[in-house]
Amino acid sequence: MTKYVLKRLLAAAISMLVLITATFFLMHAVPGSPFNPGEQRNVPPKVLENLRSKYGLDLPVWKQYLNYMNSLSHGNLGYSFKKLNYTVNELIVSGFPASAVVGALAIVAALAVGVPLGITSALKRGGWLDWLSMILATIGISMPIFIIAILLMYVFSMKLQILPIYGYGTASHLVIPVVCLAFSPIAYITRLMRSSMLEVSRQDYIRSARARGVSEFMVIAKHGVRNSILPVVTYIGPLIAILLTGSFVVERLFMIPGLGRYFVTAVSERDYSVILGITIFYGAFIMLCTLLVDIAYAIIDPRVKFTD
Amino acid sequence: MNKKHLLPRFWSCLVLSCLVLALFAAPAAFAADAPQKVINYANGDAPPVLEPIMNNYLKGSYLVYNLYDGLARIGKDSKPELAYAESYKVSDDGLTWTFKIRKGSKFSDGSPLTARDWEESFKHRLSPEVASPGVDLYLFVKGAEAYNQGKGKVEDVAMKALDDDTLEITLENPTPFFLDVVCYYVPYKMELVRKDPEWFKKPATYVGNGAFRVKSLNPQTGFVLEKNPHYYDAANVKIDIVNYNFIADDSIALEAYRKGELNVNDSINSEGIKTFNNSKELVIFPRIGTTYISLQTGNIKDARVRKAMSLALDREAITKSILGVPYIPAQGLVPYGIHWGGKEFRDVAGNLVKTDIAEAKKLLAEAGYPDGKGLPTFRIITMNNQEDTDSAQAWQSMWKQIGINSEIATYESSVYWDLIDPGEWEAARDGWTGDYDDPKTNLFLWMAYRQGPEKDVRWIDTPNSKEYDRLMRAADSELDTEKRMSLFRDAERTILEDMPIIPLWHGVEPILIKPEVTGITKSNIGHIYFQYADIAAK
Amino acid sequence: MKKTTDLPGDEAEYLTEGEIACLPDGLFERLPDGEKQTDVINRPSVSYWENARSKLMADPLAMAGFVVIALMIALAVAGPMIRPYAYDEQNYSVINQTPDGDHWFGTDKFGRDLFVRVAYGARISLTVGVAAAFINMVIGVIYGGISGFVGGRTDMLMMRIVDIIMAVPSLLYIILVMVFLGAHMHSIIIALCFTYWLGTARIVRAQILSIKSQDFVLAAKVIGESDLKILLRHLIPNSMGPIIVTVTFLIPQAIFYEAFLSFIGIGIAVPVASWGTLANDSLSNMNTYPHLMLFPALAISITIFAFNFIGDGLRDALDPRLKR
Repeated sequence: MTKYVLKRLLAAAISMLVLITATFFLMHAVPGSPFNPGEQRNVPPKVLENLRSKYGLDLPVWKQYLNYMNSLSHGNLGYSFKKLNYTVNELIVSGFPASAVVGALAIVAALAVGVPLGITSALKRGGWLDWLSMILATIGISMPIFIIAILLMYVFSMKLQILPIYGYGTASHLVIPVVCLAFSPIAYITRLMRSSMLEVSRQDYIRSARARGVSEFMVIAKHGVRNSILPVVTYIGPLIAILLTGSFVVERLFMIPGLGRYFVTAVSERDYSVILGITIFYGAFIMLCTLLVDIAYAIIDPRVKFTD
Repeated sequence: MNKKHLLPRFWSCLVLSCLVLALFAAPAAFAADAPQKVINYANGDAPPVLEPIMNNYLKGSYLVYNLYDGLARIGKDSKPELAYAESYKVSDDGLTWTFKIRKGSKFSDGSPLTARDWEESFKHRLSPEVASPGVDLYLFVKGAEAYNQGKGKVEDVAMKALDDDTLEITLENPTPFFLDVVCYYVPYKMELVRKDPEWFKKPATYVGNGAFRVKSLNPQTGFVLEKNPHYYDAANVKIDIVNYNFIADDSIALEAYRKGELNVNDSINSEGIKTFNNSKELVIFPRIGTTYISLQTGNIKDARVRKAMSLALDREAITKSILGVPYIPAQGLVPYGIHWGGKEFRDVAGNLVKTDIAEAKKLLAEAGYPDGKGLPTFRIITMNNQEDTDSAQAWQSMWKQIGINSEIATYESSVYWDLIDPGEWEAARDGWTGDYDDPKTNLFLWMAYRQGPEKDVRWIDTPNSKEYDRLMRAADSELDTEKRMSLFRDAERTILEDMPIIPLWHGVEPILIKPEVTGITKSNIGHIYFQYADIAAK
Repeated sequence: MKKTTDLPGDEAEYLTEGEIACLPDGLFERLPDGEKQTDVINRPSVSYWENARSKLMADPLAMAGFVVIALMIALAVAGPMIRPYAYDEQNYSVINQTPDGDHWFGTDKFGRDLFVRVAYGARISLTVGVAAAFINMVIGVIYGGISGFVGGRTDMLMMRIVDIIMAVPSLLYIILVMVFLGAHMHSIIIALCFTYWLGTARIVRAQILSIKSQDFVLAAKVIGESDLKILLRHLIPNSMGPIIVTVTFLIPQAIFYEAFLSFIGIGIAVPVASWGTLANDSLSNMNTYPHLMLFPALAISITIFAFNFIGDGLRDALDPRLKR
């Protein structure tokens, strides 16, 4: 087990290196640049030149790469090219908590609703709950998140006036964003759970457990859920990273000061250092989550063994 | 079978806990504001640059000029008036301006503010090492351009503090509108700026001299501004707090305004305009900008084709029906808000832009392309926002009426300006908002020194462009208003006869203001000022 | 008599009456007569695919789904032809009209006929959704299948590659593809193909990992079936449930991702519109002109409902363990 984890960590380090390199050159291959002569037309060309050399953009790309890797080895992600005089570290530190809070709540909500709903509808296949979950799941995936957001806002903020429209700070600010973010995962988890629970409930060990007189609760909890939750776990791994590091649309609509907004804005502004910084952060996070998921597999599913 | 009991129990627990959570959450929504005069303002997403010295964006300036004041400031009527200068003198040649600074002027932290601070701040921002992109208005001062471009010395920049209260500025050319310009020469507390590169991230070191100062800030959600007690005119500032919110989405801002979470909403879309069209809450300020189509004169060589393209456009339909914004259909290049003596320049110079399909078809035929036969499919490039893509679809359809076929390619703004340069297009959306009340602020864009292969417009070496340049240069050194304006009028006619660009509309600044809020001022370049505002008791 | 397992290839075991009689009372209930009957094997032997097809045909919801999708395809193909308007034909005298006999779905701010635009949008959205989902499913199933089945170092390497691709911000290469290939439908599909298979691959691999140590796989190995055959005949069909669910989710995701691309301004070029861009554009005028959002949103929802029903039906039909 320890050996396995160590090996995975080593692999993750190599993956990160590949990731950083790939992103760096990909980013520079995308047309456009942070200091754009056309966009800032009242800027004398000489000033633009000074600005570019101040941020090292006048060097050849490979040199910029070496410089970047050098400062990265000191844990420094550099300065933002657009939010001038802000460091990337600073932006990540300021953006991550909000994204993480909203994301974590959304995952908890998605699991708390999705898993039981999936189990229930699998066990009572064709029953009203199965239908309800089916409809819910379909609505969840058949509406884009921005429409869900606007509708929720319309009902709860404008008509009922019980929730604020935008902002971040109090618990009431979190309700609509969390519901929006959880909507699609709930749908997905419900469907995955239902589908795999259906399979598992036909397996021998469920029958034999029942036959042995194990209580129905234990049959479902111990054998059923444990064996059927695998696809959900697989799904949740990358989802955690995606949600915790922010959803652009929700953060933009509700003005949540999170990482997702920084990222999409950085991509469209070609803010190289912010793109890379957030990618590294996100990449490290995703790899950690996958590692945890793979370990979780082995713990949950006795059939999976740690292989090297 | 206990699973029958188990599941309903689980569900009721879940529903119950949700209800409890909602109950706890709900009262927090009604947190009341303090009994102060508070403006809740929104104007789109966070400005790209938050550092005042490095700022070059309009949105950033909206914020900055409530925190900083110049020697002059933009008054209630959006005309410049003296602020930190109590008087000024101009030499007979119009080149040397001497300002007397108010005695006892202070920064927002209470420390003294002297002419030397103005000089030091000006030269700091201008220095090539700082590489601030927002220095174009600084270049009127003699020696400023050379220093900024690394060719001159800082000592040769002709701004000097003669003593603590006297600032002498010598200009490159006589500049009758210079009082407009000094509104944007603002002092920074250099001692803090030099010492702490993070000064603008903390309220304590974010020191200005404007009507308001920073109380708290978050780079993503917004600023809280409070009244600056050390402001020279603090007695006349009625507003205690300005919550400057960053709200990226116009629909959200509109809902927040309707619900009363905002009382001034500056990010307003066509739905907002439609909803409040007949209401006094919708206030429309003029903006000295013109949106136009740049034509690639290298690809569309015949001026008659370019003119036909202009004649085919129904500007009224584009602005009123399609965009749903009360823009003024363009009548030339110089917008409303630019004055010729006491009158609007536009009214004196007249309407130079027409819509006439028959005439357009005739011109196209004369050029040898009857009904567009023989013309290639034109490429329209535009930025990817809703307004620009909507507008481009209208041109496409209107040009089709006279037989010109075109296809639209949309790009992000960061790519768009890179693609403008290679010139692989026929028509591109463009626009410009001026900086001061003089036609030069709009017309200088097409002067020869700004043209050429690395620039976005290539209108050079035609008889008209040469004449244009001559007229513009003549206007530059002309001191007599009447003659100067006539030169600008002729220049405008000269360029529109050749039509390298097609004017579309003149800008406006629509804004929603609740009835109890009075005195909100927007300058002719769009900046908003809260220092003259007041809120009536309900 | 009890069939102890319904896995394919397994021999059913039977207990004799005598053996049952030996069991202590009270531990088992006697089956009611009706249930005994169902245990009698009275079905003709049919092949896997025949069986799947007949099950699918018998599923009314899945059939309804197919009908709806067929109607949508008909709308996409014939819709623009049955009305006298072109999708980009502007008419400023009839802007923002609510639905009537002439303009079935009303008109937009250019006076363009919304019905024709929705029908035209169906071409874009359906093609993007189905093509992206299908291509990604194929890549994902093959990749995940190989990774999970071969295991060991190969699996580790393949999964690390997935991790890396997953972590590279997809927006970057999507912008790259869109800028170089232009804002066309095929560039969106190509762009989507870079990322979408990753999730499928992970799900398939997880599924394969968990079933490959089961007896029926061992049995297949013992009787000397080739690895490829085991993968294709046993492992993949047995993980079909989650795969189908993933794919039915991929279709709406692809449709929405296309809309998201327009949301941030790098989507399909105007004046062509997909359902996503139609819904997106209507957002800013939702309160004044709700019909502009209603029809594209309805089209999306109905289509996705239909795909879901089909997915459900397929899942049941293709899963060899769900014989009825």
